[in-house]
Amino acid sequence: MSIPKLNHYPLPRDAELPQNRVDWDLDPSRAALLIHDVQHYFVGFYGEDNPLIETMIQNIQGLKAYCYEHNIPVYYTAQPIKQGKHERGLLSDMWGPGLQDPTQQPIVDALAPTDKDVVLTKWRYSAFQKCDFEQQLRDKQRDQLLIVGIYGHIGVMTTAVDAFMRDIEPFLVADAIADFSKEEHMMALNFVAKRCGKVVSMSEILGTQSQDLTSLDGLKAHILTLIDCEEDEFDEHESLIDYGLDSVQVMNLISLWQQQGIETNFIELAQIPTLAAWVELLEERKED
Amino acid sequence: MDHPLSLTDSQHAMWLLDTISGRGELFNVAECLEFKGKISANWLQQSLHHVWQASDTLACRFIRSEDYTPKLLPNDTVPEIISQDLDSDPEDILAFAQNFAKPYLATPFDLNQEALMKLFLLRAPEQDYLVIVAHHLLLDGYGFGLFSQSLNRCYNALSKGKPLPKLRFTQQQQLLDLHNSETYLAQQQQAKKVLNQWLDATPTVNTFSDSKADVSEPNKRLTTTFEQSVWHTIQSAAQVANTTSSEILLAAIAASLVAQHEQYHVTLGLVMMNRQAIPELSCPCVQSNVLPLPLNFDENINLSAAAALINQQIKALKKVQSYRVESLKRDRQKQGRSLSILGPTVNLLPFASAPKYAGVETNSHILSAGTTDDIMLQIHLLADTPATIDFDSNTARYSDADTLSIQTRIFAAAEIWATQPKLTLSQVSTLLRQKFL
Repeated sequence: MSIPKLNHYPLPRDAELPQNRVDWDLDPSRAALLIHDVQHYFVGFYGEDNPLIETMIQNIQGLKAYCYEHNIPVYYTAQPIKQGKHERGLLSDMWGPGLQDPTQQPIVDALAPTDKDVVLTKWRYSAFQKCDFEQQLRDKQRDQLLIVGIYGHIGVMTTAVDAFMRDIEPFLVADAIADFSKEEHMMALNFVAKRCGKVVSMSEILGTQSQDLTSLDGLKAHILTLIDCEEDEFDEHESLIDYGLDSVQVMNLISLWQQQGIETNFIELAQIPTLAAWVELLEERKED
Repeated sequence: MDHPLSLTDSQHAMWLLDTISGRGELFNVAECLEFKGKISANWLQQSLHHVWQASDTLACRFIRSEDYTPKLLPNDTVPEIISQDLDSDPEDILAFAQNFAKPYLATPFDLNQEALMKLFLLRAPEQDYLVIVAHHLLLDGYGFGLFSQSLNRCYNALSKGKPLPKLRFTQQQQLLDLHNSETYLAQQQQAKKVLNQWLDATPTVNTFSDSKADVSEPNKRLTTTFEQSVWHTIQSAAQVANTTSSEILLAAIAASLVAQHEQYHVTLGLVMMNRQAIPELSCPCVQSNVLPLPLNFDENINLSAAAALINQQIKALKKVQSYRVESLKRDRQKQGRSLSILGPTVNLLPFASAPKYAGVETNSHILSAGTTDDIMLQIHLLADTPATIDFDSNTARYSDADTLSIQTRIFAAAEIWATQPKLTLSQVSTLLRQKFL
């Protein structure tokens, strides 16, 4: 009945994110950050050295630094230990007794709250339930909420739904969330994007441009990471096969372009195996 | 009459295998193109006509000259697509297509007389299916993709009322010129030297079976696809280990051999596309080669290091891929060395595409990629979709239970190592032994 052992999976890339229905702009003067349930207990189900958790924590650290810089208040949720049947309610039927060991209750060390941050006690899936979180946000004149942490399709998504119903604009940071699986992660993103909020990525918030893999410069920069060649020795009209680009790397590129709605295939790329010819083909396909 | 042309090394090797074995059917390959709707038989035949006549490596016969030297004789008689009506759409398309193709796969082509391709358009009420059976001399895996793509381009042009496209296939003489160039021949000599050195340094080559037996009946196939969640973990591990999912699969295959034989030197057989130059990439005829991929692992190697070793070794293999495996075996025989130079053979197939025929979606199914006397793992890599592996095995050496056990161990190895990339090869091997052996 407890939470299962969880494996790592790749965080969604920008091109995989769902289309948002709303066009809200994140405004630092209206926003707050919620770091959801990143306690030793919940993180522990991913096992030690889990790459998914390591990346999520690294991204949350980056986001938290951004929030400090822009005077965006930071909130945490943390579930209490040894809740009684009455306090825990139906959660016991679904997940068993929950957190019992006091050493498992704190937020993980890498994200430990500072004096500037507020730690809310978490009682139910939504951070707003049985808690004055909404009032705290109103007091600080915040009506936008960036949500990160675990688990995507449970507490994170439910908090987003609840925020929406309180007229607080939820922003889910797609690559600062972890979930039981990639499917459930994507399910949460799809639901929020379509029904109650906006899905954003770290690069969008921090203003760091992700590479455009259909442009000459973006694709060249990406390919240079795959082959053994210095930038000044690379010729965009030379065969990429001669440079050592292999078929599986080509397939990965096809998959990335596919996520941007551009259809290509290995055979047609292999017949014109130069960077310049590929960019030309991608331009043609964009126009189709 | 057209002048007969010499064969390339790859064609010659395939011709010899067919002729010497007396069992040409072993070199038949087949695919089924499933149309998700109805298509025009007339446009399809016109497209075939155009594609066929654009390539003399397709439009040819393989004749034997007076001195028994095989030659390629251009012959532009285009095979006719045979139409057959089906009463209902098959429920299991793959099983249906395999069953349909079976008698044709079991019948050798007459290299001297026939076009080396048969095509059948099976017309069911809802969908059409194109079954293609060909000799490996005509097409390899990449060649099949090139052929299908050209057919598709022509069909779509016809459907839009546009002129048929100019197809720029490399012709036989251009391929011969490339392969007779000094650079190419020097590269082959170097490849011969390197491959023999590798084999000199290789201890006994193991596969999954200790028995030896020739092929007595068609290979049996077990097809398995990774679960979505496991595949995501493999993709994530690939990011973490700075490698690719295919290298993780190769590491898993190697780990399962290590577990079985308790030897950290593994030699896989790897199917190489063997197309480096642009003319080779525009020619559908057989060019692929199967070469040894020797992997000398340290028992304490983790996933990242194992994948790096595999990557490095594949890069080295690419440089020597033009030297034919048949020539390498002859070299070993002359030196009185073992002819067992390949472990289980792995074929990485990134050629999947699903082109639309005048808006009708398609799905392609590989029915047979040739016959092996051991076991061959055809790994279908489908971008973000979980990989599917066909385990094709020689039934004289592997029972159904043997193949299932091999599949289970390889899939378990991939999951264990991807989930815990820091485990050493020795630890993964121990876990596999405890669980399965």
